[in-house]
Amino acid sequence: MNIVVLVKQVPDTEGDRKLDPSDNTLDRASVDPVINYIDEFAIEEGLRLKEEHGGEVTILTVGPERATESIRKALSMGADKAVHVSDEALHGSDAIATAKVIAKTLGTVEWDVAIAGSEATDSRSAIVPALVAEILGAPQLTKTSKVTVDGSTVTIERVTDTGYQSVAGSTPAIISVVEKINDPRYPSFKGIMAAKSKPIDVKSLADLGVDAGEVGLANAWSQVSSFENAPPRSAGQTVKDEGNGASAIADFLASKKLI
Amino acid sequence: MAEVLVLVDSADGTVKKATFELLTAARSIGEASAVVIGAAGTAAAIKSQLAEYGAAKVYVVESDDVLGYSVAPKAEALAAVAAQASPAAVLVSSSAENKEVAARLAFKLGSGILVDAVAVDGDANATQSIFGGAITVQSKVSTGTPVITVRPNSVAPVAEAGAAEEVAVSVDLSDAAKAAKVVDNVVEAKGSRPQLADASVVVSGGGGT
Repeated sequence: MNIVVLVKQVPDTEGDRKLDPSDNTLDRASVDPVINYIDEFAIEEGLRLKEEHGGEVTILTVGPERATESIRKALSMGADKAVHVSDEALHGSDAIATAKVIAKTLGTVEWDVAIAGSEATDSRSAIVPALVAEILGAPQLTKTSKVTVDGSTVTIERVTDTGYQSVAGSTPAIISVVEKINDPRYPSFKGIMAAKSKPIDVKSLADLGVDAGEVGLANAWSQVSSFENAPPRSAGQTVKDEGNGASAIADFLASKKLI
Repeated sequence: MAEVLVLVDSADGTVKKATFELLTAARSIGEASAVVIGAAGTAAAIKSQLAEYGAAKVYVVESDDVLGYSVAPKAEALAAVAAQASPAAVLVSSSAENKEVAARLAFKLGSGILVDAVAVDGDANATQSIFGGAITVQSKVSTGTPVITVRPNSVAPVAEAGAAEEVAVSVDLSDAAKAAKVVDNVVEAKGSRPQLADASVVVSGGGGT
């Protein structure tokens, strides 16, 4: 199987994430970058499918140069190689432009499934996998807690409000995973060392044949007009529990008319 | 006055509160047009509820085909309605599925999309709350028909009588819309607790530091 895993590098959610006031874009330099949390589950699922069906796992990342760190981490988990789309013209792209670039890149590799995490912690829009499916006319098999591949048929359990749906489509298919799907492995020391020499194919927009006029901040189909940082939180009320803790909580909730 | 399409969320003959919120928001932008996509008979059961919250029109796409395939058919159905209505905006509530429907619709329309707005004004500008509320953002769609997903519990629903004129719309699904087939729908037993996203107040407790 040719398995592609979409990986995004995002600012650590533990950090103090900021927008850059000069152009209202995400200030990626302000906080240490990490692999998007749910993407680790996507990588794990890709590795699991490779172990079951044979083949190769290729990491696909669209991101600035610094994203290389996250790509190496994905490779250290066991992925075989990577494609890194990096171009300054991509700065400030919206989800739609990003999806167009991903779709174009998939067109340059052999792929049976492209597995993404269901959402990125920075944007939280959770729409790129659906957009890629739309652009390519590929089956959208998203929000998955279980993936089964049988020949060219991929069947997933799609999480719903009431339980799950079984949804099936033919390869090549777009998959996105939720946390329930698996437990990501930790990279072994051997994996970390091996990752250093695994190939990362870096592509520019020109390499992909993507017109810079389709991407980037100025060409985005939506814009941030302005933003405001929330005022610093005022200290809340601290109550020391000297046996009265429970009644203090009850009084507080009652005063807010919640009980 | 331009129409604003609102994708209706309903279950078992009951319209969800989020839809009433969207109809209210739609009315500040233009004329609210509800869009019901479901099995045969869905619209008849809920039309009066939509009328209560000011739907001037109710577009009805009733088709088993639409439900037999995942997500993509709803986007195609909405696009067909949009082609008829030429709306000033399309509003959907921010559920997991609706966000995906909205995104696919936006791409079809060549339009920008704003996800998880906590407020929408009369010009379809959105307010978004990001990074756990640390930053509040004003945003807008700059190309095409604004497609906006709105976080439930953000808008106070205000009742206002609407004509709810029914307009049936038929959709011929493309092959691409049928790429993901729904093979089974499994309902898992749930506790009686309310959904977190629908709660108006959340009280959380835990071991503090």
